[in-house]
Amino acid sequence: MKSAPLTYQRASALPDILSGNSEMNSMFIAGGQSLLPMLALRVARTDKLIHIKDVPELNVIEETAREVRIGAGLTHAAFEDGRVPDEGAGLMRDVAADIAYRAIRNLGTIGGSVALADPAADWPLCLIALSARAFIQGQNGSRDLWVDDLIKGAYETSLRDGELITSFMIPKLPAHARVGRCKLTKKKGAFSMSHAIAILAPGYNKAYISGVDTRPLLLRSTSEALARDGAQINLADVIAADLSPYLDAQSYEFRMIHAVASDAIMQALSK
Amino acid sequence: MSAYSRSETSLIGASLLRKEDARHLNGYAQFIADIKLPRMRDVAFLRSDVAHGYIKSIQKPKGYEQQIYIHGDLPIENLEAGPELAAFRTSPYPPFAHEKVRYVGQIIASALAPNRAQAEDLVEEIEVKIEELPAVVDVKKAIDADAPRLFVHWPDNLFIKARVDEGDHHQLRSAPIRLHRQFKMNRQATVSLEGRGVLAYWDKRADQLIVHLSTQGPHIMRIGLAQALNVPQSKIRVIAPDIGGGFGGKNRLMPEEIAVAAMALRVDFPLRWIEDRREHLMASVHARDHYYDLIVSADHNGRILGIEGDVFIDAGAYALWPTGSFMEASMAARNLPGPYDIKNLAITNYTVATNKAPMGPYRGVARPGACFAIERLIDEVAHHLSKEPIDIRRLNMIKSSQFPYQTVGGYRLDNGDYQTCLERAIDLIGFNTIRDYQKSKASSEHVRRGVGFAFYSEQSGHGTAEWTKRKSRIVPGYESARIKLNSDGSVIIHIGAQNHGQGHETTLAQIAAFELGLDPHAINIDYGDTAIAPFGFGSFASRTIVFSGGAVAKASRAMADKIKKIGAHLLQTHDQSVFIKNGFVCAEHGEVSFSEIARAATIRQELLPPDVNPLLEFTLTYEPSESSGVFSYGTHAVVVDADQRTGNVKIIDYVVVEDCGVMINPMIVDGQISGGVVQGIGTALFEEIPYSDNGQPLATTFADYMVPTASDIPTIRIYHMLTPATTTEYGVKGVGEGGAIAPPAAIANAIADAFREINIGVNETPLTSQRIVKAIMVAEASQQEARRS
Amino acid sequence: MTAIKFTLNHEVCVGDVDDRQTLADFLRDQCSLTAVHLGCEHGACGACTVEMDAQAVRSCLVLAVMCEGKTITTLDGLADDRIMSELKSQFHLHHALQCGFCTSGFLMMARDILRRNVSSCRKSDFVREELAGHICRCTGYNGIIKAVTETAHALLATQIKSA
Repeated sequence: MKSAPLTYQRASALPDILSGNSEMNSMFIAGGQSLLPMLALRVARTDKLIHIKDVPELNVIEETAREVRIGAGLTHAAFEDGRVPDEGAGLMRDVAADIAYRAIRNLGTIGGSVALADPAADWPLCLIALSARAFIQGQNGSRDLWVDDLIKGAYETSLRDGELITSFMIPKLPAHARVGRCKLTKKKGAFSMSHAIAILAPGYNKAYISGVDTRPLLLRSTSEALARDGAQINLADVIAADLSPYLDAQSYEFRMIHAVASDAIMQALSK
Repeated sequence: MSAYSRSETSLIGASLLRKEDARHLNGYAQFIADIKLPRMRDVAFLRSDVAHGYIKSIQKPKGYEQQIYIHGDLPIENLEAGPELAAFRTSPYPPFAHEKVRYVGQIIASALAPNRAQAEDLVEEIEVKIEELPAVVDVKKAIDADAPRLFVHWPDNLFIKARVDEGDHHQLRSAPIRLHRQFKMNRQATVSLEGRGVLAYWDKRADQLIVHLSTQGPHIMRIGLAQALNVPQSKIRVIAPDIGGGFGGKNRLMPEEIAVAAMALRVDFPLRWIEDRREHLMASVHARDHYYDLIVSADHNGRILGIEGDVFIDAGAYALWPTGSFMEASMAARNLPGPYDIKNLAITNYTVATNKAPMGPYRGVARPGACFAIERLIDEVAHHLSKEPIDIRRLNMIKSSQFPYQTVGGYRLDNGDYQTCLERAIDLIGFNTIRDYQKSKASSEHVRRGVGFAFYSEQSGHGTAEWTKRKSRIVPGYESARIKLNSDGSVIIHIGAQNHGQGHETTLAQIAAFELGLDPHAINIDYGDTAIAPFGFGSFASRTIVFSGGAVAKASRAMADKIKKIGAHLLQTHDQSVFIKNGFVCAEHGEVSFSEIARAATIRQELLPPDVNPLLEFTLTYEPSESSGVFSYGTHAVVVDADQRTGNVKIIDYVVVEDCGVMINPMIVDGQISGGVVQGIGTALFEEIPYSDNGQPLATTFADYMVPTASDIPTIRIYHMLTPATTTEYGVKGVGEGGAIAPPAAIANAIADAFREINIGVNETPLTSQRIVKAIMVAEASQQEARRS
Repeated sequence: MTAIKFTLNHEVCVGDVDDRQTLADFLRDQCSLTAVHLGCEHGACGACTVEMDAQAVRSCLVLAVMCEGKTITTLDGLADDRIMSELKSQFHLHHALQCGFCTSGFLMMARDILRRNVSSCRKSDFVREELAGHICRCTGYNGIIKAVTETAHALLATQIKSA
């Protein structure tokens, strides 16, 4: 299982990447923990790999009273170890520590996870739940957008050719925000079958889930009911209402995923 | 530090720490992929991505024709595989596909290049046109009259259909209880962490083909290679390096290995093929894949009267050399009675050819499937009668007074105490405490606790009687050992078996040391090279401690006798008045060291007694006095917590009470059981290669194929009973496979117990969370139906 | 092809690598460090684990070219390491290996978790979770878990800290 021939270029500054090289088919690589297996299996191919991990803009760590700005090249381990400022409820740290295995986390990056947009990935779900924005650089300049708009579907983002994510801006959660999370996997560290995150705070009640649609799904009725009823919520019914457009209510998927959503929300409510 | 993990005085039963550990702990081991030879090239294979089809054309890339091989480029004889039974249908299994491809992953061509990456690049340049045919994927539909046929000269897709008929099954029809159930154990791979590998070259100096092969049986593979390549065995040397696990998956001669050896005869440099994980999951030995359709008959008390029905084995597209896979069907049927006193067995078994990778032996072979079927049937009968499954087991278990017990499956269960074994497991798992716990929990709770049991017996150390009964074309009826005392008194023993993780370098040294009064560290156990090791069959079927242990004991005793004879002569006394101790032959008045005796026997033969030949070397064979096998056995008891919403299963406690007779090294026995149990948990909960309707394997990397890791298993509590075998040296029995036999049954029973109020069907492995949730939903729906009507 | 230079097992290593070549293959083939084993080549089994800039990484998921300027350590470079020496003794004592193919990967990862969190490594549940990404087919894991927890106890008892 060896990859097809390719050439490697290490970028140390953003202009190196953005100068463009339209003669060759090229891909960006940061951690490589998802891309290298795909290349080894020859299910992905490229003529050129541009290594972007060392680009300074991808490694920023900035914190203000209201938000956290973090480089797309930061590793999951950096979050796990608390070397990255928190969004206020320890959610990002908790999500990061539960991705794959430590050796993978030492190299895998948050930007890589979002850019790949695997429907089972954890960072897209987490950043969307936190209403994060993504900062993008391309040949034609820079732009920023909600991560919710960046992730379009399975392995599909709104990144254009030659664009890359440089950083994310995460608004800090209000004080006393309560967060719950539940991930269902075949075994520890494997890709998730479904993953739910619930955030409860004054003016911010959101429950999101992956493994239902091709991208993280807002449990809309559930989120509204949480805002309205709090702990009095009729959880089973509202989750069912949110899932039924996507899943047959008599199916085993429905039952399992309903439990994932329910557990995440109950966890938040119990705090 | 002590060389023992527990304080021991006798070598038999001593938990001596392993002699083979140092090389692995320090990185000096040499596995097949670690061998580097000058000018070595790598081989990659073009494999069929179609399950069934006619090969219309193969186009080698221009300029690289010399580096590509296909069928017909090399003279390779067909190896006939399968039992020596006229009824067993054979068909050639050419290493390079000829005319047809019959499974996804089958080799069509090979490419040679300076390294593997370049060989894979070259494979991509080969153009193949295949006219696709409908794939045969379902084991039952495969034998329909109108099923597409894998082999046009066969009347149907059956390797063989056979029947086991014992007792009077007609009387079963009037049994008060008759339950009809189906069980399925899905296809999986063996997943040794090291894949297969072969490195071959023609050694011009030695005028021999040298084949380094990751194998469990170098001598047998040499026989196969000699036949396939039409080269005398004296011109082939097979060398097994360190082996990174086998479990049966490295005990057949496979097409890649034959292909590489054949290519090596043609080229001027060493050739290597190292299996990657995708190849392993797609095209290495596949296993399990059983389907049972059974009727169990019982009386009102739950006494099992008989089992009838059909067993289907999905054997894949070809028979693997030398055995084929009829053994799987035959053992599945014959093991159905389990440890129970059942007098009637009427089973038709079908070994079916399908468009999947060929089936081979994997730890336990057919027994995990048979155990799953009978142990689930016991629980089903219990449920039907509203009795405890342990009570049905107690009622039916073979009693100690009945040994040796001839089962209706044709096994002679030698000895043991099955009833005590069961009772100890019931006690050790805390059965009553679990029942109390279950009662204390509200039915509205998501997580349900369940306890399940399964009993297994493991035929081990079986020889001529059993293999001839199976009509094997190769009968592993003995093992050999060559013992040598060097002129300085150091000892080396060569064996014909093949250690691949079981600790034979340690256990066999313990036996030799015991017989020779030496320190086990003074004895080298060596194996693996057909030029050096005496002929033997390799390590599989839980045979090594019985056969090689016996051979080493026998050879060591012969050596001890000669040493004493020479020693007595040197001490000028009678043979009968000397004894061996700590490397010396001792008499009342003096002692002489082994090294002095060895010196006399090797380089100073004038010192020898007149009737004694020089050299201290013996090559002997050994077979136990009863060759139908000695049976280890045990009870597995498991407690699970299962979430009725997600189907998630957590194993809370796992108890094994087992009896493998005398244990040479209890630490190593525990290791074998522990490893076997976790592989059994893999079969029970995780491992599966599903196939699409057109024969595509759907799990070809570890992203989809799950194996248990440390967080999936609890501490496994292992307890031993000790009933020495009466027909083997020291009373040993084999133990390598037993751990893997019972877990699927025990875990399924535990899950069924967790949901016993709604009587879910847990009859298909792996019991993934999806299958469990589906089963719960089906059971809930029929309960609601029942309430309505 | 790209020229690379990095520190390997405390010495300078220079090489000329095919850009697509993994660190695992470079270490095994060009440096003859065959204790690095390939069990899957897609980062799922842990057998190829090495240390790169003091972090555990799966060398099949690193390109050799990416190692420019880095410090790589394999099992062979840890012969004098105190944590590794204790681990090896405990692996031997608790029968934590059978065929040995997964052993170097487990040793490398176990050392990493002990370095970062020796105190928590006294608990077998913690060790099970930390080692959940490594596959062993022979031992059933319990010997490995025991070896690691016992190493933690031994290290804390003698208060040895790794360099």
